[in-house]
Amino acid sequence: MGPWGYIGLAYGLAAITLVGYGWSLGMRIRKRRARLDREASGRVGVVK
Amino acid sequence: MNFLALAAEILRKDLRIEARSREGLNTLLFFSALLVFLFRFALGPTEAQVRQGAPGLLWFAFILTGLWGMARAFQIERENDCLEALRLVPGDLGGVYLGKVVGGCCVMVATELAIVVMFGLFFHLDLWPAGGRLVPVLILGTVGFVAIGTLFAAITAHLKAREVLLPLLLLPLVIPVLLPASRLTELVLAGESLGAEPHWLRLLLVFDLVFLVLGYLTFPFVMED
Amino acid sequence: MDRLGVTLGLGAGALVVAGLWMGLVQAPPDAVQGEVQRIMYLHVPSILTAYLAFTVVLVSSIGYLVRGTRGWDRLAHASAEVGVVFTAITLFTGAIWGKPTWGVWWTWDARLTGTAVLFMVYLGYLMLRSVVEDQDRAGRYAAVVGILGFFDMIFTHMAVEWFRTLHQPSSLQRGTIDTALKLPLNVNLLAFVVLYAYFLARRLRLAALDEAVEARDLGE
Repeated sequence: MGPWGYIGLAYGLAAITLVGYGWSLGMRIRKRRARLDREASGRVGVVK
Repeated sequence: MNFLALAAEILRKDLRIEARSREGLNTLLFFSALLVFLFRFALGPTEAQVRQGAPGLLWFAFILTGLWGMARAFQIERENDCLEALRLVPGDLGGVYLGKVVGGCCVMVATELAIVVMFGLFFHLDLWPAGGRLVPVLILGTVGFVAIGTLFAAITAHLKAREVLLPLLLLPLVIPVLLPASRLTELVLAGESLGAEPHWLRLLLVFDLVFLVLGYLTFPFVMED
Repeated sequence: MDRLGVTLGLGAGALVVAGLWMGLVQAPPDAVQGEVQRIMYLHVPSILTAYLAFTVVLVSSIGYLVRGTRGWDRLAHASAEVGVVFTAITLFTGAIWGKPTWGVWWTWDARLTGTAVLFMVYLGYLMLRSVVEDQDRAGRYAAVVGILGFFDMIFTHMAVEWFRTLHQPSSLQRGTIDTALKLPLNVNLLAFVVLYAYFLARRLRLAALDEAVEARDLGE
């Protein structure tokens, strides 16, 4: 592997890690929001 | 109750439990002997190899037995809800911490000495000349280990996964103590004096102090319910 | 997404693009190591950002123990998680950089081992939090790890200076870095710090939602 191969590998993996983490944060936030919305919308009093 | 009196009381209580039950210390000694025999298999018959690996192996054995001793110090408090009583102790909870640390150090250093003696015996290492310098190294290394170990034993005592979590949390954190301690052990076993590489000794002392102070300050928060 | 989040996100995005261009195109190759040295523009900013993150963990852990308010605890938790991500990047970029320069992916160098240990300390921090259900208790336990972990971090960082090992000592600290390389490094560092702030803001948002969900489950 030439130097650019190593550079590509490092930058590629870093990009995957950062984008992946950002995406996972977004998904987790969306899931919580959806849950709060669902529970707020007219299902008051439903026993869980 | 004042701080030192409380510490002394806790220490006296713990040592009395150890002395009366004896099953703890006996099991520890048996376990230590087993470890020394296992090292024999791991290292093979060459004495040069043993001599080279001795400091690391010794500390490895100390860690294993130490972890067990740390967990035990709070396991005995779980029986009959003693932990609850400890929490309600009048006065500074830091006294409880100090008592537990000193007690833990006593048990651990005793085990360490037994391991060292067995190690010397079975691997034909003449440890007598190094003995006088080895003991302070063992004590200094143990103090740092127990200072944090006590803290995490108290934390994990409540948890379901405590057997796994204790080493998992403790071992990475005590590296700043274990590293200089095993390096100093190596020096001492090679016949050098403690001051041969003073930065290691300084490092060990500094982290002992840091861990003790932090342990003392944070212990009350760990015990809080 | 809230305004702060959007601003930080856009800022981080722009800075990362600028950093990539400077690091990969504009900066000259290193006189000794050649092109491969460009990995530095990831490796060094990510560890410095992780240091920042863990320092925030220290401060907010102390804040939580002293004040006992949830906000401090959320900050500590969020910062620890983001810090772990940046430490992971440091570790694998280090390994990739090590292969062409030292000839191996991994070596038992003090700095390397220390950083791996640091990674484990904060993984342990996150694991402890996930095991303890009661939030206040989890916060107090984790705060202890967060405070102790900081001292481990100092130890790890000083390791290279103290032990004289394979890893090059910090070029930034010794001032042995050429100006042509320094500007791209600083831009990348800034990009990483803003990215950290962005992640932190998002993670705090998540923590707040988490607590809202929990409060609802308990309350109704």
